[in-house]
Amino acid sequence: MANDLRLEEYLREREFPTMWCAGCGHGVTVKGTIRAIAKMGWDKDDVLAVAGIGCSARAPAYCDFNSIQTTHGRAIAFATGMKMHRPNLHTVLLLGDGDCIAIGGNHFIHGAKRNIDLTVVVMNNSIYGMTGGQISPTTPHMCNSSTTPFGNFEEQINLCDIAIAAGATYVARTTAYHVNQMAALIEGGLRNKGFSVIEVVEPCPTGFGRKNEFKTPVAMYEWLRDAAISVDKARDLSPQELKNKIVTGVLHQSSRPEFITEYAKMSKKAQERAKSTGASLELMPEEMGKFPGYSEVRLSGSGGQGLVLAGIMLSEATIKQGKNAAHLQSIGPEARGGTSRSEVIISDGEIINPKITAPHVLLAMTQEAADKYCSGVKPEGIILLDSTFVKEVPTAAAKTYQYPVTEFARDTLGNPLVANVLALGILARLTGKLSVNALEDVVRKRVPQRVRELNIKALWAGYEIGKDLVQTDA
Amino acid sequence: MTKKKMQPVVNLAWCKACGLCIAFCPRDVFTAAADGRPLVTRPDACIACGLCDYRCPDFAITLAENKVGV
Repeated sequence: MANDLRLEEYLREREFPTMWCAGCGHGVTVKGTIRAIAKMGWDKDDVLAVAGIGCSARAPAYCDFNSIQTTHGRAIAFATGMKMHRPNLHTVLLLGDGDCIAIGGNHFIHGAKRNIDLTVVVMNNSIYGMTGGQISPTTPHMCNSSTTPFGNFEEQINLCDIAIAAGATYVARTTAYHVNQMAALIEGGLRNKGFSVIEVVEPCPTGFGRKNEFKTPVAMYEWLRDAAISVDKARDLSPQELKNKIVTGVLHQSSRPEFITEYAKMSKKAQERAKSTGASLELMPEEMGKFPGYSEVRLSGSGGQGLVLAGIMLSEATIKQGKNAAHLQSIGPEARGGTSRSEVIISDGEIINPKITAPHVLLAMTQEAADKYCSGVKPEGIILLDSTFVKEVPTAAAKTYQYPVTEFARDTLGNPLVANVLALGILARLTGKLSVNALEDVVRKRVPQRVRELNIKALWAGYEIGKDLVQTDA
Repeated sequence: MTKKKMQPVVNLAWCKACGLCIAFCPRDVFTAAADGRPLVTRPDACIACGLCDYRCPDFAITLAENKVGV
């Protein structure tokens, strides 16, 4: 059969020759994976290859797909996040046995449990190769390794059985010798919409072979050839007869709901529920954004000023307006009096990173916070200083407003604790970024009943103060 | 019409002399050189099954059309 596959189109040739030892099965499995992907007819830019740590971690580097190397054992966790974000990417994991079932064992179980649409190709070479040939959970019984010179007295783990028990919907096993079966089985995994596991039993001629009387790489492949037995034949054999055999073929195939599909359904349901119960989502005309599209807000001061809650309410109001929000909070070691920071990103589009870099809006409610953060605000941004505490105004490129927020809350409204909501009201007007109606809805929901009306009063008082500040400025 | 004749081509820069292609070729197309790397000594015997390509861990073998030998 002639080979129609133009393999070089799928390789990053500048990375070659590979760093793997002579006869290493990883190269064979990577090739089998590429053949399966090519058979699917997918554009290589629609494929994401994920690896963890170990010799196997180099696998995606040799393939010209979208690729990422993650931390040890966490490849399935990373892949889950990426697949959630980009459900259309065909996500293939190239993992070692250590990454998959030892260090990453729990992620593996939960990936299978969720039945998330990932294809996990486990390159099982029965050993921790990169670190010097120590035993791994997949090392066969009584085989030697650098840490078990008299033989491994533990039984090896059967990762396919674990995958089946945990709920994977496609589980298959093959070896690095059986190259055509390998490509076919991986293709089966790619076709399955759910969690697919293809275990490829591989030789590690350096770490495993030399310690176990396999003198050459060829001897290891002969062992794989001779130890393999098809799942159909294996059915008639006793466990005794199956000892030291490698059962190959499709071990399990089933159908059940897939994680991302179910997640999308639930998300839709939740949105509909919010729509049916939610109050006004409309923006007031004068509130149309001063910073279109994307803005970063930092609320800073000391613990006890309610800045974390303010951040949460700001985020929720943003979401109520149909935008996206991300909120991060940082509280100093003391519950009260320590530094406190609450950061919110408001965006019309997706938020890739929840960490803010240079805020468009800063609220500083202590001198320390003002000194620390004023200079970092974008020049076109806005700063609101609580002049109750900020006596010295730091130099900053951004437009700076001052108002005795806490003093007003304490003396005019009768409770200093509403300073946070008062400040939100002021910011809503100054930035033109937020619907006060949406904020009011959130305050109504978030604040205990006995201070609810006071908080709403503070919010609208803040909005009026904001108007005055803008007018004075003009 | 002449029939296309395929034969293996070895990229010696990527080959690590593991010997898999030599050992598992069903038609003994390869012979080991002194350094263990494969020499294509019986190109006419090749049936273009592609197994040497698929089994080569180093992506060092491809099948190409033999333009001279036919």
